Amino acid sequence: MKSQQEIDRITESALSSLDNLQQVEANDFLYSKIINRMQMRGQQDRAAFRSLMMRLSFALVLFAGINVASFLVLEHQRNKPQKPAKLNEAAFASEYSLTNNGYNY
Amino acid sequence: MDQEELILRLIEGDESAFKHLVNTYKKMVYNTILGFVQQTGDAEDITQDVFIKIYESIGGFKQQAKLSTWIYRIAITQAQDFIRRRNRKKRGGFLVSLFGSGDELVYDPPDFVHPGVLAENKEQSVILFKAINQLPENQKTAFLLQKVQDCSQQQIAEVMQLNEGAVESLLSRAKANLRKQLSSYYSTL
Repeated sequence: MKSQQEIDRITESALSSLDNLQQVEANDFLYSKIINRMQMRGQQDRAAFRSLMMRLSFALVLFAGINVASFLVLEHQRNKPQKPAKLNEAAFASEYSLTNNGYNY
Repeated sequence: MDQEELILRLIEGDESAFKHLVNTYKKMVYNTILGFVQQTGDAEDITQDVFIKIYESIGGFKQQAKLSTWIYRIAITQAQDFIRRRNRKKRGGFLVSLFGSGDELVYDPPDFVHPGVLAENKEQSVILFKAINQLPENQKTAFLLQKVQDCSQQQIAEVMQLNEGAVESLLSRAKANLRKQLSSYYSTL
């Protein structure tokens, strides 16, 4: 067990351990590394932009495809010959004897 | 090349001006960041990021402060952002607190021996750096600028955008906190 006096002494000594700290030299090739990183970052940005554009183009093509397909399907349905509604109703009424008002026991 | 000419040439994208800037300020930036992050590899990576940021944002430098002051601010901000990201990862990964209830060191981050510390002070400086890491951000910044960068109180005030009185107060609180932590640590040995 250390005495308080000894603890205080070590504490003060530790506090002053950064006195006369020498500055450390940075990497000699720092500039080249920075330029290299900037070029790499530029390439990555371009690749990310290309990827984004590809996705957007795909989404646009898909959207346009769905619209064209929908248009064609609706157009096809509109042009299909349909039986007149009145004729259908008359045939139905005749089949189930709904045309006379009298009871038939 | 004076500061104004250097800035003008940097804005124009002059590569030789950028090389001059890197070579002039790399030691200052690297040492500042090293004090904060306490890992040589990370410090070098962040130093590179700082210069890229300077290159990209030099157009926004208003010249109200010295160029070195502005560079200090960028370096400190980048280092602090890195530490926050690292701490978030650490918290998520291990769920351990660095300090117990009685200010005792429970979890030891990797020991950092600053390459510029005198040989006879190395052991104590490791403990001191661990304690510095526990200081509030403002106190840590002021203390490191004074001890690692040998900045005057006026320079620290300019970098931190405070008045000198506030810096003096930060430094004295930092020292009191460090004294308390170190004393607690040494009493357990």
